Amino acid sequence: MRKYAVVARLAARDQFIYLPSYLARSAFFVVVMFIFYSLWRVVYANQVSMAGFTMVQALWYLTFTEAIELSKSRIFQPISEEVKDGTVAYSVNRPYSYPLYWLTRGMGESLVKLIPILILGFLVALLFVGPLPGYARAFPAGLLVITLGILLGLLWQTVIGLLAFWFEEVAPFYWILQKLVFVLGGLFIPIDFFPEFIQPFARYSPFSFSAYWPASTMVDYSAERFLTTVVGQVGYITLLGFTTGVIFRAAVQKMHAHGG
Amino acid sequence: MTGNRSRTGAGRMLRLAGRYFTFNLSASMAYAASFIIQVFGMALNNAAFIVFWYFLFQRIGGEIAGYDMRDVMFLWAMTATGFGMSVVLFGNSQQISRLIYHGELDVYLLQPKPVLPNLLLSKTVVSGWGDIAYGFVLFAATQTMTAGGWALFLLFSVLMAGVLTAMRVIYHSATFFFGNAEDFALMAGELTVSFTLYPGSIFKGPITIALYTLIPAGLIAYVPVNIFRSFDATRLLVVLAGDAAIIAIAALVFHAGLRRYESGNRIGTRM
Repeated sequence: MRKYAVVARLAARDQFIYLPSYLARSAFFVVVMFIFYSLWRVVYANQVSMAGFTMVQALWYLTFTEAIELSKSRIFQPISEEVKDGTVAYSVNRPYSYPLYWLTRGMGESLVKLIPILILGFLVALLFVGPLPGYARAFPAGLLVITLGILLGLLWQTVIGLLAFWFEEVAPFYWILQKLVFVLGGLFIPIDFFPEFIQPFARYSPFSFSAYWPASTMVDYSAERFLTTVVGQVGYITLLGFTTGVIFRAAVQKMHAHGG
Repeated sequence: MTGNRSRTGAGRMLRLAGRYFTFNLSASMAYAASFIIQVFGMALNNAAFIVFWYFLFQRIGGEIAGYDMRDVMFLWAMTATGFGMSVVLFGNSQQISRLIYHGELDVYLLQPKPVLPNLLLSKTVVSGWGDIAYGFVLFAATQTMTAGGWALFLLFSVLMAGVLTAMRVIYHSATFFFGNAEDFALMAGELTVSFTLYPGSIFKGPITIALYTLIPAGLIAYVPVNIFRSFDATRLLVVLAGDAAIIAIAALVFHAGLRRYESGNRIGTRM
């Protein structure tokens, strides 16, 4: 495992170089926050709480879902490029697991981006709606489930990147994934806001464990919610990890069949 | 004489636009699978937002600051169509900064065509077709079908395409004056589009001034929604005059910047 820790550390160190440019681009995140602050101000004008969320919770919720979404490194792109240009034939012969290499590299990059975006979200939400009650108590558990949420997202991306062995263009798979996280995962609004008929399905879909569950653990912390989040995330990470392994082995077979 | 000359100039410009459009379309269609994937991908991308708004209106019921679901869908249909037209016809408007700081404007300066239109028209963004298709379908599905309604929808979409392009020209022209402003220009362009997609009445305070000047979402989206709901010829004239002014300012700013442009002495070809 030490070699993967080194990969993550090196990727994190590289990412520091691009941090100023990343933060400059994050100004867009502030604008999204402002738009939603303006929207929630109108929606909450005549009510203190909606579907169990106060305005303060609804806006802070967005800072956490966006932090996961914006900090995720797009590892499906280099993976699919390596598949398309043939570099993968050399990469798979190196003394490490190819999918694990990209996962750890992606985690290293993403975690470096996560911290500043969490700080930015903290400052902006504090400015717009004031402090989030229970933030300090929820933070350690919240940070863990946010990290697992990123890992889950990166596993999806590894699968998508490897699909380049079968499909010429894999970006549309990523777009579909993004939209599923957006719609079913509760990226902008908590799943509790959804119509009743779709809530059970959305709540336990894998997409909600990359957005709704980690963010709601932060804004409405309870030991039970935290445990549900961790169990769901670990379950889906295991399932997707297994799927990644199966797909990778099939891809390597295919590579041999073509003779490299 | 002047009238004849300008008519001829306008005719030449339209012919140039037509040629570029046909050429860019046939180049995009050469990769049919990629074209279809990009078009459907973008339509799907936009469709996710309908679900968001549907869920929100279901939860709240009625209106948000005077906008009901249909009004928001009109905003989305108009912005998607206008944005799509803008990037399909003037695809290079998103690349101006890069062309300036790489010294790649030389190609356009040497050709016997007006620089700015020639530059803007020479590239297309395929996914823009997905935005256009989405906008038309959304309008047809959510609004009452009348000839007047369609005419206003098309007019406002075209005006939005013009203004979004003009704003990109203004933002990217900052590169002439302050060095590489690509990140700023891309973000400012995205900001303008983002603000057009939400009910204008939710924004209060000093930001409203910016929404009618620096980020003219008010002029290209909020006022058109009001006109669409209740036709007002005076307001329409104000919109037309405002849009024309923005387009004229964009041309002036670009040409002022062009005087500061230094060639990259780079040899390149346009394929």
